[in-house]
Amino acid sequence: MTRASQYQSGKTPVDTSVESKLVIICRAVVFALLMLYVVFGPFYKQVLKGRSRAFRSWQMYHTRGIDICAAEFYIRHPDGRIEHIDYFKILEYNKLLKLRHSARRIMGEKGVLKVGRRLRQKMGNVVDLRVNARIGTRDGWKTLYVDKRIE
Amino acid sequence: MKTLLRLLQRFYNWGLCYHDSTRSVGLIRIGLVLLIWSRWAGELVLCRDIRPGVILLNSAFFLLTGLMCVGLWTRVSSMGTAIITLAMFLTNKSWRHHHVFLLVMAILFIALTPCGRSYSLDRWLALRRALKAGLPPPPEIGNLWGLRLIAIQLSMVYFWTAYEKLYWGFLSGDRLELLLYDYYAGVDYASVPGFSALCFVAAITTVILEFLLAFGLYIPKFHKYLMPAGITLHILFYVLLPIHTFTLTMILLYLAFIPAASVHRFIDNMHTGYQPA
Repeated sequence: MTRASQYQSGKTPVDTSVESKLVIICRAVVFALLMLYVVFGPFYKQVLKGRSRAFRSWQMYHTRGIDICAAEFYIRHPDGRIEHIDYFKILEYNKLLKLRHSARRIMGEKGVLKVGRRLRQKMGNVVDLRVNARIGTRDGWKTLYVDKRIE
Repeated sequence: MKTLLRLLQRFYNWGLCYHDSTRSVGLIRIGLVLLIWSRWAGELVLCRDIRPGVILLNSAFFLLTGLMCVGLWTRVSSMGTAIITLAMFLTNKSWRHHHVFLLVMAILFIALTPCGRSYSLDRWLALRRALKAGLPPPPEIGNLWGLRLIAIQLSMVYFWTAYEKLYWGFLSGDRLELLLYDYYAGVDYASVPGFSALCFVAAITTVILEFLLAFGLYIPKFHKYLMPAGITLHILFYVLLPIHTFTLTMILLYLAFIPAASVHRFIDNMHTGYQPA
């Protein structure tokens, strides 16, 4: 049984209309052009770093997360003891969990210091409040602060 | 030289001489219209912008996509849909996302196939004409070269997204961590045991899987492993990240890798033994 005849009752004639050479050539040209666009468009953008807007790259989320900070706040006691602070809890971030993610994330150096200042307001000036922080870059995490005192 | 010519001939036969059942392209046609509606229709409702030119353009969008969905004058309506969606994509900056580009390209490629020969009003009309003329039903067969372009497009999506991840920042898991810190901010992930190790494993797995999907989907015997893995990966993306129609488009377009004859037989088998009430 031929592939075509599988789909019919067995009595149905297969459409064997002959296409003109022009149709075949046009189809081949369109196929080749579209294939080249699909294959080499990203090559042009991602490898050759081309800037033309006519082509598309497949770089999804490649700038997402850049400048995001991960901060670890803690109190250094006079006896040298370190007390870690759950700043999400102290600043009542749990109330923000239902909000958009942009309301909760810490962006950049300023963002870390802003959270630090809010913690300082909550905890008073007596404690030695410090922070270790990392910042997101294209190459991953980079150290932003090590044992920085929050004034 | 001979080998090259033989390879070219094989590629030509594979790409441009793919005469098979049109059920796959019929299903993709309907799915793509539903996806483009879910992405754009809300923004194109006529009351959003009542300038006459825009009303005309948006009306044409709804008319053409509607005709494409039900499969009436499908060659014209699907090509019209391809042209209008491409024009809208190019002129509207806020729609220039990857998932929209994939959708627009898929619509263009499906419009190059006889996608109205199955699951369409065109098919129903053709059957009615054949019945009246006492002829056997027309075959659901056509040249599916557009389906090959869809397959190539999907491979390129996987290949170039995987290629883009080939640097230590991603492979180390850091960039995945950053995505979580961005979209799921509000939790101290650093204190979760094994969090970084999990991100590292997830990053490596993602890259390996994407490279495998880029090439392995062409080999039917790998489908039973790669397709569930790919679908799982896309569902995870869909649930975790705001990627709109991307996941569903990719899963729908997997049909381009399944031999059209198998899809046809599968559907036939689904109906075997069915007795209407």
